[in-house]
Amino acid sequence: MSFEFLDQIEFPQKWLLTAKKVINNKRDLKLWEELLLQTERLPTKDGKNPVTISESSPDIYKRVLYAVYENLLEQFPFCEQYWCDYATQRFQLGEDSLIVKDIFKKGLQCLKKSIILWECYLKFVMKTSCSSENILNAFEQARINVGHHYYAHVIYDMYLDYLRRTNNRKLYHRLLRRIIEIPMYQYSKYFNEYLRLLQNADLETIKYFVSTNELNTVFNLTWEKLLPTGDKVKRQQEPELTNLKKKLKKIFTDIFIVTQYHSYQMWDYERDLKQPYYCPGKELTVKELNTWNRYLDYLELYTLKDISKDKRSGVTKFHKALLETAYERCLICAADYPFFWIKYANLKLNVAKIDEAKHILMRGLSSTDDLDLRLRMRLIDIEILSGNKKKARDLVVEGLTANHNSLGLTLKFIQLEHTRDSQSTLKIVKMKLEDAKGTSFETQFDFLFREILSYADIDRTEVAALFKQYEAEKKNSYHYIRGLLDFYKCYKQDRENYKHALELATNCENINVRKQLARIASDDTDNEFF
Amino acid sequence: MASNDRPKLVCISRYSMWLTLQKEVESEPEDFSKWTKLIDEIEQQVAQNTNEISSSHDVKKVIHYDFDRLLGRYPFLSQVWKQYVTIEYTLSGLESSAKVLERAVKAFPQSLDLWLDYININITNKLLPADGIRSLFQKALKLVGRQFMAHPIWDLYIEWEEQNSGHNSNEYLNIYLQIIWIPLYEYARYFEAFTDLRSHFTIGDLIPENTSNTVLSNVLDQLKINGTNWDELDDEKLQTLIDTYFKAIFARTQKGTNERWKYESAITRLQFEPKPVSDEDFKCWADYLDFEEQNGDIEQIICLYERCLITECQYQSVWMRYIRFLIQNTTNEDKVLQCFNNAIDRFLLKTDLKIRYMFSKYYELKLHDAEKAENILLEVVKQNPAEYEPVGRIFRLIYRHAKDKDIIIKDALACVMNIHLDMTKKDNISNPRKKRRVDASVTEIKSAKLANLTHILNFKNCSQLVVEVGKIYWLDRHSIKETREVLIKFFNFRIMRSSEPYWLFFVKFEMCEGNTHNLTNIVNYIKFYSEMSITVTNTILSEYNSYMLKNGTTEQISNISRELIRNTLECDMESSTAMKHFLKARLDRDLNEKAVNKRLISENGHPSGVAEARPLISNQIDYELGISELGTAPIPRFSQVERANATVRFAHQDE
Repeated sequence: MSFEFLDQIEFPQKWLLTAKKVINNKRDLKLWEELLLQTERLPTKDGKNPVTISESSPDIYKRVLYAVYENLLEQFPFCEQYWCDYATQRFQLGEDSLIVKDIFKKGLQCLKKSIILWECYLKFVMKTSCSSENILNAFEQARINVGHHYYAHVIYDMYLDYLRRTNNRKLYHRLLRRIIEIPMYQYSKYFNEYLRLLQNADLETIKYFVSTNELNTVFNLTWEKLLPTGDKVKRQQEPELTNLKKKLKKIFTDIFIVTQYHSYQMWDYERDLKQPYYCPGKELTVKELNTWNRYLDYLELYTLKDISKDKRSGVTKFHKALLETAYERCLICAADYPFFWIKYANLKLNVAKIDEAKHILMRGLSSTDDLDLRLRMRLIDIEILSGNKKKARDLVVEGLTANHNSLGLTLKFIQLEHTRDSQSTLKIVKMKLEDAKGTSFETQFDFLFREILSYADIDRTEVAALFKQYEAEKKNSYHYIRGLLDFYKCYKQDRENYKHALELATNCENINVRKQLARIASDDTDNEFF
Repeated sequence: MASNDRPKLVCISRYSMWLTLQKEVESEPEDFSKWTKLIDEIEQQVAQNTNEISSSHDVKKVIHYDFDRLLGRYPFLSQVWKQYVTIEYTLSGLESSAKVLERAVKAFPQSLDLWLDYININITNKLLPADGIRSLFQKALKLVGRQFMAHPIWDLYIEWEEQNSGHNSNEYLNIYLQIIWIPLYEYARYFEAFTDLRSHFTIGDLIPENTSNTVLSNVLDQLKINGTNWDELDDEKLQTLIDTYFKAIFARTQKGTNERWKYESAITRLQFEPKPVSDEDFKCWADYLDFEEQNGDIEQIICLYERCLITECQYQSVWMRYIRFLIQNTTNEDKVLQCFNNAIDRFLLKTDLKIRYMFSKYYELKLHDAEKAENILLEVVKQNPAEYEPVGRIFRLIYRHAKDKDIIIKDALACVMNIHLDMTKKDNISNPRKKRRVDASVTEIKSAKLANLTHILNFKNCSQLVVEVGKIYWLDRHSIKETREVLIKFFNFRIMRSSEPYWLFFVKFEMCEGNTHNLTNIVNYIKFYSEMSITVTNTILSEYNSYMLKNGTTEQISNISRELIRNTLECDMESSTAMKHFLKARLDRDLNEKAVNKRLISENGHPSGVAEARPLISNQIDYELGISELGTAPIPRFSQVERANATVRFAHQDE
């Protein structure tokens, strides 16, 4: 958190204290909330009558408030409501709408499937834009991005309402026709509305239900046949339109059946999702996590090649949109869980979208603690596999800077250096062994004695020398003796030295290590039990 | 009296509750709670219908059968033994009940309670002469006299000896001279009584001249007395010696008791119950044994092991520890063998393999009886047909002791080949669509030992022989060529598909030899044909990935990068089943992933139920098209819409 203008304003002591606390506890949202509240009330002169920042407040107060918001959102980018609050507040404090729009854009870049943020954005656009084209564009963007959200009715209701208010009958019909194909929580009300439109359709609006071509090919009718030409004929033609409506109703009812089926299937999972928002520091329940996992697997089944062979077809895109929306939704509330980031990246890897997978893993890296370094290790491997060894190395070095004692990253580092210069491997191993000497990580890094065995092109005489060099100081190390046993048994088959290694195993002073080694060497020691 | 034939239950048909409980026990003999109910019911019926039951030979047979079966399975249930004795006394009188008690102390010799009952019944009813009773006491005290709470049996002995030999007899004194050394809960009481008693005896009675122990030596040193010829000492010196000596024993016993109290007070369960021992108790026993092994004398240690095994008799590790202790610290082979037999035959499961291996090694290395060692392993192989390790062990044993080792190798491979031929023939009969050629004929096994082994091997565990032969060629004879030849010879064999040791060994071998080409071939085969567990298959895939990333050239890695990614997806726990292509292929008989996809779709995420089809709109509108870009949407077309409400077919309905 940085405020370059701190010296321009005299801050209350309380505020400074809270700001200090926040700096020391960046991941404590409650402290951030407290700071935000105090910042909003900076213009307060005495403690009794709080005054919040308003449009007429000095600019410096506003800048402080914005800085607090931006820092908060940097820490907690998945807190959807804060994006909305920030943008709305800037708008209310008289900020230029373009700047506010940029905030929304930034938020939507991070949370592209956040229904809350889209809803807020659309409200903002409707308030600030006088061009119907702009508004329609915004609605369309929202539809494309979150139209397959299970709770997308929030967006569709606004969209339909706007079209109704602007009397745009054509688009109103077309939008409803699309909505009724999408499984969602409030699927049935749109269908009822669509049926109502069909029921009330006249010769003008019936054209929104069926195209000229299909009127002819499917129903064997023409518009002329539906037109009234005289009293007698009119009586006969009325039933033509009614008949057509009846037939259409039957067809559209089938859409209802399909949509209902899918809405029900999804509801099985949706109803168990109790925390659809990001809550920092609060772990999701095992049930919640399992539900997301099963839900994603279920939706993925529909995207299998065998269901939709044509990649460009509407069906394929529809299923992919359902799945992607679910993933992005999941990664708002489960953003702290590397499991789902890897799962999402795997989804992309499965269809050979390597760059997208990398992007997802990068997002995961910046969003989670990645304590076990799984995300980083995966990203490194993918960079190697796609030929970007430099990027892979950068990731390793960056990781090692923060986790100097990570064995996994050290092994990766050795691996990458080995491909560059196989002669350097033993040097690095020795350096690391020396580096770890006397630290609490010494035992862990003894694993390097086993790791070097997996490099086929390292000279075995040099490996033997390395083992010899460390024999005295590592005689009680499990990994060292295990490596030594393996080396002389399988790699450099040498009976004498192997016997010596067995002796080391038997004479090891650490009883637990001795027991573990006894199991490993049981094939070759007669006295394993006695 | 022990009855093995299952008696007919008609005789107890008039006792309906008894009959019901009896049937429940028959159907679930491993449910201990049912046994408890049955035993209680028998006890109640015997009390209510004593005359009727005691006159019926058949009903008594049923009772004996039940008690014998339960106590044969769980001999450490002292309460049940007591119930058995009481019932036997009620139905058949004193002599029979004494016989049951005799059996009880034989089956459960560590039970203080049962010994007390047994001795009491003998004393009260004068079933044995005084010498017999004394030797019974001595036998019992040898077994339970060092238990921390053994004071009741010592009290009984003291009381009996007082009545029998008198307060001033040496027999009476000798009990105290034994007891004062033992760390017992009530050690102080015995010392008090002994202090009163010892004034009636001479030094020769109290400290016989041939006495030799460290306490006495220390005291003699302390008092500067040379030798144990008490006649040379004056009265004052003698009195000082007696006081100092017994004080030193008291201090020693007191210290021992206090040290043991720490463990004794922490153990929550001392009686056997057919349920697991708590972690806390388990640790406490282990610590107590450590302590005793460092501080106690051999009898004290053995007594503690025996006590520990009352509650932990179903734990292989405790038996092994006890036996290891006996082997290292005693020369009593009979005792060791008795422990092995007890543990293996009575208390442990047949899946507790380690102790059986230990038993075999004991015969081979300590008793130098390879034949017996082999028989033990043969039995293990028979009882665990799905395990590989026993096969490896028996083969190595045979190989170690064989004169012509090449014949053993040849026979081992021939044995696998014969099983393969047999399997292929059977496969051809059951699946004529995919007939395999059977070129070779059955090879004769020359070694009698291998022939013996062959009879009990199956298509799964025989593969271990290939691994063992491979190990001999590779690790003993250092012949890479022959090792590879053996491994490749069996590469395509159907029986190898499920063999974890074979593939793990093959992979390890090629990794050590740095043969990436063979390694890739192995992994490509395993991916589609492995019948091993998913975990092992995936372990091999991920080890291969790791190996290739370390050892592959940039070009090699680039060529197989897609495959390596697929391997990664296969191994990740995050991946959905849909992403695991090799697993899906393996799940289908024709390795057709698509068939499995279809199944997954029809299961709809619920493997227990199958929906034949799900409805779809075939010409769904492309949502990416702008609302103004598309004119009037086409009339929707559907597939399977009529099946939307079709009932799900559940797996159990197929049966």
